[in-house]
Amino acid sequence: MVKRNLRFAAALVAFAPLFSAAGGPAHAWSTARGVPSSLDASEEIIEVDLHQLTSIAWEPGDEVPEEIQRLNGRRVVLRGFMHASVAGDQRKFPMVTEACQCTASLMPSHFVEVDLGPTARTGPRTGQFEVVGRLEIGAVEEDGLVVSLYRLKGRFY
Amino acid sequence: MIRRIAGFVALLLVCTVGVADRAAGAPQRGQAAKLAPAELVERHLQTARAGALQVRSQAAGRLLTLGDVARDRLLELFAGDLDALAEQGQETVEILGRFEDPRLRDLAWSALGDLDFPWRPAALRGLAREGTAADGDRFLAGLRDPLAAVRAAAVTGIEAVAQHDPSIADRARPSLRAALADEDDRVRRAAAFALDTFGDADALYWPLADLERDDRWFELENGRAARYDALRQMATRLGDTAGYRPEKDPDDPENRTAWTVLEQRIRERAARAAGVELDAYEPPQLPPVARPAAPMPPPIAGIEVRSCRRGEFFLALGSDDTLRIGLGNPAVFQLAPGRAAQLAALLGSGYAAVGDERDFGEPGCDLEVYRVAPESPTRPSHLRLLKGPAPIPGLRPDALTPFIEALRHDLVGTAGPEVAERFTAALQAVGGPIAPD
Repeated sequence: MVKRNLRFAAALVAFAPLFSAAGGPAHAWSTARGVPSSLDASEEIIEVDLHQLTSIAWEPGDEVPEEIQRLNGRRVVLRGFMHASVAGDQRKFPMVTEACQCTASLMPSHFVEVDLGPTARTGPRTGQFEVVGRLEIGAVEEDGLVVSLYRLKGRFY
Repeated sequence: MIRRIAGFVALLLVCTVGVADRAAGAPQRGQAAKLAPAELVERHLQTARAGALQVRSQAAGRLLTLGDVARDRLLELFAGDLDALAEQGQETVEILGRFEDPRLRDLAWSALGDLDFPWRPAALRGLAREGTAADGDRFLAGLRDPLAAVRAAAVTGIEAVAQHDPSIADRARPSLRAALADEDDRVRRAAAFALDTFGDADALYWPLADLERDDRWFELENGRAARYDALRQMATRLGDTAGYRPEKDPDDPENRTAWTVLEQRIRERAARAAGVELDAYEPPQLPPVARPAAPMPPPIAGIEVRSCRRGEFFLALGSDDTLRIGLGNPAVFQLAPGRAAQLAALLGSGYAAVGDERDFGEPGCDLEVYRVAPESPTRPSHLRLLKGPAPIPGLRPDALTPFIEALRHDLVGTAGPEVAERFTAALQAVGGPIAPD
């Protein structure tokens, strides 16, 4: 455990510049396509690279790097894929950087759980797509097991 | 009156069942501590096998904390029964090697030795976490495995063994140097970092080259993924990222500056390791597969096959009549003029024959995805076959056969019969036998 924490601390130190205030992990989103009508036009929507969220070295019990934690509650746009495990019509689905993570286990830090809201549903999608909505960061547990680290309430864009 | 009583009884029943349901559905946190260890083992086994994907690994990890009770149950259930172990899933397979028990480690080794076992990478990943000196030769053999994920795990195992037996570094060095030319970038990076650990700092030029990648395979951003992975691991060895930002283009001026700083650090480290003056140090020549790809015309059609038993294949047809094999900097073969368009048309005919359906089978560890350049912005360009470890008879629509046969023919004539044979084996492992044309 000590070794793991040291590794994590080292990774944080090493990656500090990656998430520095100058630029940060996110960029103001190009509004060329306009702000979706369901979002407050006065609130900035930032483009976040899904890889930045999902490539951190994280295990249950670890803290999320502060620079990523800062995105908590922000309205963001993400680009990625629906996990290949999704079948049937779903309100929520895991969004990943690659649909098939066939040779490794899916960990909570590897995806953003997208929640389309109480009335919306989607079937499986194959290609790359974007979602826009509010990002929530922090481990959510059920039965003592972490079921998600990143959540986004929003919609396809 | 009777109706009223019946109504009351029904209401009572509904309430009781509702409470019971909630209790059954949410016993976990409150009751977990009250369960006997043997009950906890069953619960974690069940969650590891059939729980939500993202909790399976955590549930399997809990088995480790239960010690002997879990060990004995795992032996009882799975010793000598690889079929039952396969059905239990990769998360449980992955923890077998982490028990300090030779019988469970032997079980994991026997799973690895069975080429039809679907979770071989997981078996070796677990073994690699606790690599012992006695395992050295087995990990070395793993570097020659047909599955890239197994080869990458073997590298991790060699590093673990080195903690107990430093002599493995010299024994593994030739194989690790060879792995720097592996067709899979995960294996190349693993080998590079292992070699750096063993004193061959020049190997860091391999992940440094990954920072210059911006390749895509259709919409898959493999270059971007490689930049993230390479930088994360390099930063822990070189102090920091020097300001390199993987989300930005590699040619971004700030990234070019950061790359130069990182290159200088690697050069100094490698010169020191080689015992030569900095001015006299010559960086290594990277094999073509490890270099960033030159710009290529976009692909017009392709096929991605990922079999948990037979490995991965990525074949793309370029508008410049090329057949490209692999990700990153692929092997490129020239086809006859007009041939790529012919093959893409064959695939398009297959699409048309199957109608609007684009997904076949059930999600699992196996995937066969066909891609054509988008037919229209709203129409998917993918056709997917999905399945788990168990075969699904008739999974692949026969309408795809002409395209597959034509592609296999071209593979034999370009990359050669051995590659075509491996490709066919992977296809058959996912979509089943290729129907006669």
